[in-house]
Amino acid sequence: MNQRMKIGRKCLKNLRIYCLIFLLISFTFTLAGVLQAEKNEVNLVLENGLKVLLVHRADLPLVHVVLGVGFGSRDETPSVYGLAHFLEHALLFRGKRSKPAEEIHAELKRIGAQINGHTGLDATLFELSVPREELEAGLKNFVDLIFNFNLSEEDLSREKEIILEEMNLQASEPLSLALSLAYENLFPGHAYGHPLIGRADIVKELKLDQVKEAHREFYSPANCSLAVVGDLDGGRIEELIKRYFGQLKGKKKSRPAVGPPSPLGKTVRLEREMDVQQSHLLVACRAPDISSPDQYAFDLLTTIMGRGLNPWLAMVLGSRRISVTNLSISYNSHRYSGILLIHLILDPKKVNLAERVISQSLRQLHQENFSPDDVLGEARDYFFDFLSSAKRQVQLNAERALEEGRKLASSVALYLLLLEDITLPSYLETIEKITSTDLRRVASKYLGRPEMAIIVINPLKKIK
Amino acid sequence: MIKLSLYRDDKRLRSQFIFGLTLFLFWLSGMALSQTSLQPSVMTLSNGLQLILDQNPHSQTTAVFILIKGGRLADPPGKAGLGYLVARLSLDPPDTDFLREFMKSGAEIRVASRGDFLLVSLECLSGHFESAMKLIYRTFSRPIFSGLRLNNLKEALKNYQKKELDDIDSRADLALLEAFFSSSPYGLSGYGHQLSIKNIKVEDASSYHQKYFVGANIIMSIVSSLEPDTIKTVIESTFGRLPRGEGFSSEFPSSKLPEKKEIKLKKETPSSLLTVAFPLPPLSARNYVLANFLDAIVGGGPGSKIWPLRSEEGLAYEVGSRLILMRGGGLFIIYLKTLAEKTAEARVRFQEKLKEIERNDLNEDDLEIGRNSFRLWLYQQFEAKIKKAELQAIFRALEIDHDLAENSLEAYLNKISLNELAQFFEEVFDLEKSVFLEIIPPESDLAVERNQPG
Repeated sequence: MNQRMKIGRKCLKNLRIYCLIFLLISFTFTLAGVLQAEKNEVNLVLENGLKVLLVHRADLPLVHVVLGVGFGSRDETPSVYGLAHFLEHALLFRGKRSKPAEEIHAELKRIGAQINGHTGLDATLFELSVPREELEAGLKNFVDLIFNFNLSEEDLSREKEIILEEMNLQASEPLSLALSLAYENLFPGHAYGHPLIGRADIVKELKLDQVKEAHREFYSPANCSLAVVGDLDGGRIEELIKRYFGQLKGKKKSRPAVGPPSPLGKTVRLEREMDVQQSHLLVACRAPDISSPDQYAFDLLTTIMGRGLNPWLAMVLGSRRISVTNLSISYNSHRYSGILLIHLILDPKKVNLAERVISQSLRQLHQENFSPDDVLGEARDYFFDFLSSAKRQVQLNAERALEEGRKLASSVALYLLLLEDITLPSYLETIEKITSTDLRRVASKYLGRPEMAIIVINPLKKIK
Repeated sequence: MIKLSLYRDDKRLRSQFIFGLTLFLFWLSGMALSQTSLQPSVMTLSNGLQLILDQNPHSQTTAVFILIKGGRLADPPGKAGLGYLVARLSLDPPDTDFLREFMKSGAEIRVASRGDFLLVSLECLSGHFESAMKLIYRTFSRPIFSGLRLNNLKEALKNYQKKELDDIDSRADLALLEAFFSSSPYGLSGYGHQLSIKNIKVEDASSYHQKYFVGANIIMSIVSSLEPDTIKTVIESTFGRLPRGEGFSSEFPSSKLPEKKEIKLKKETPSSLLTVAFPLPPLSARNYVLANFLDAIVGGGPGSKIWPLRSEEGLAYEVGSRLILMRGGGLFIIYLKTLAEKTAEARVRFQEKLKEIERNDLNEDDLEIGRNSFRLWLYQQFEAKIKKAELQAIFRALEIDHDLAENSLEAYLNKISLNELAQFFEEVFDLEKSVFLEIIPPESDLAVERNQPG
């Protein structure tokens, strides 16, 4: 019965910054849905360069508006690590526009609207959910909050305190800490390798001018995308978009050049201790980026390894008598690389064995059979059809991604922002064509080498 | 043009046209309304199983939510966790044939135990709905209760208990539930505890299954792209064949204010968690809605009453509130997470803020915020099929589905007056009846002693 207690609208920033990273898991699924299932869409580019996609969904009582901004942690130089995240905070909660930020929030609350923000490696997203009859009031406040930005020194120092609290909280939670360490160690020296939230010593030193400058440079319409999903009656939505977003000005910002990360050449292992009873093991490997043709096979491979009723990895661990409290696996595709994350919660005594088994299994994955077609004779009758099962699960996820308007709009906004010049083939059709041979090829390419970040969070020694 | 001039020239025809147009627009608006307020159909099968069917063609998926009445309340004394164990034994693959077949459907299944219900959710592509339901029914109706399976699951449960305690929020919830519901199963974890798990025998699992996994004790809510008749046929030929049995009946325990009104737990962590919990009255449609209003007004992010502790005083990144709702009552929990070294200061300010909230009356603005936030939350939940199926099943079980149905919700919310909200607030938000709980690092306790005012 307490189904609603940990979800929903507790507070705007309850979602960790890693939400965006996780959001990208379903990015391609959702994209597939938008491209294939939704025919009721309108694509616009405003005169100021803002890319807009409108998706009409007559069944939704809410309208979901997501603004994607081409400014993520990858755009930061070392002296301003954490700036993108700080700016997102400052925009949502601090400063004065036509009125103070608190008044804007109060007004949004009164009309039954909700606003939220997430900072990621490649982009920052701002989401607005609003009843369709209050769309205009919602849009007006949304634009005011994000674009008519004015910050004082007092606001700056107040929000620094909050960010330091957030850093502290992240360091208190095993998975948050492990994720941060995984990115840092899997992408050393690369734009994806520094902490998304920044470092305390750098955030404390952020200057008002730096924050304002970043807003002026990156928050220009030509550097943004806008997705709107909901019951968009006739031409009214276009008129509203043009009225509130069409008047925005600013030049397109050339983002700093970022290439793919250089080879890691080794496996990095880190161990930390926390006051927990069970260990957390996070194994991270590099994976295909968001535009790679390998992403489809890798999605299937990820699904086979860790999702559904009979995950391949759980079978492998079970065969070595390693029982786990939790096994979750995700593939996050970013613009210049992807990451595979395998997270286990287990008995501290089993961590070393599990780590060895997983490393070894990933390296040998390219020799595995995934479909009855890979085996001969009677064995076919008894073989688990991992490949077909994964295809059905991927299809299920793609369909489900169409259900929630806010998630759909977020994925569309990211798509517009990150893949503007890239044409991808039809997602589900490509998935259907993938064979075991494709899976083995991709497994060999991405997982065949011992290049991983392994993060272990163990219970404090005195508790052991 | 000819037609236009005709209408322009003939007043009678013009008025007929306007009347016709009005009728047409009225019909159109009716169509539009029916698009957004499609009502689920509710029926009772011959074995007593209540079936809620809702069609949504926007994705080719089917979401099934099975609610088994009882939950933690149905766990016999000393055997907490039994319900969850039985649900898992009834749904975990019994053999490789089952597994092979189920994998083909690509379906996903989850199990949870709550205060009043066991909850099972299943999502699949609509094209695989029938085969998935037939498979699930096979194991659900005749699970294998072997010692080996039971023992394996018992081991898993012990680990789930540890995981629950490792998470600071669920640890706080468990401790608060135990404080307010110490003499009832509401006060225990759905995974039980070490001793209760040890006590559970195969016969317990078997008899629990016979008693509660029966038609009259189950509500099934399905949101699907498929036609309701197709769904109904599949369910009648599967779950409709479960024995009728009897529905779970019990007194619903209410909360009792514990003697010890301050709980301090220690955890080596750089953050401290400060919480206060207020008992909620037994659930009714009114109380469900009013509790949600209160949650939004007091702890629902920017603009909420507790938010200035973050925005003005910089004491926390996470500050807010949450609800634990159960039939006999529940808890309204307000929390704040702060740097360990700020614990003493945050504690003082947190308590002062709570007193300030208690002192001040609610106003029309608060009512509007509560109403609009609840409506927003409900609409958001209803977008995902599985969440809609879940809420519809729970509302049915609580017998509040009529009041909170999509077509009556608006009128229901609008009827709630400020006076009613204020009375509820006064009843619930009473610091004299609350319990404070802190999870803090040992060293911050020293800071507490040093910095205690007075």
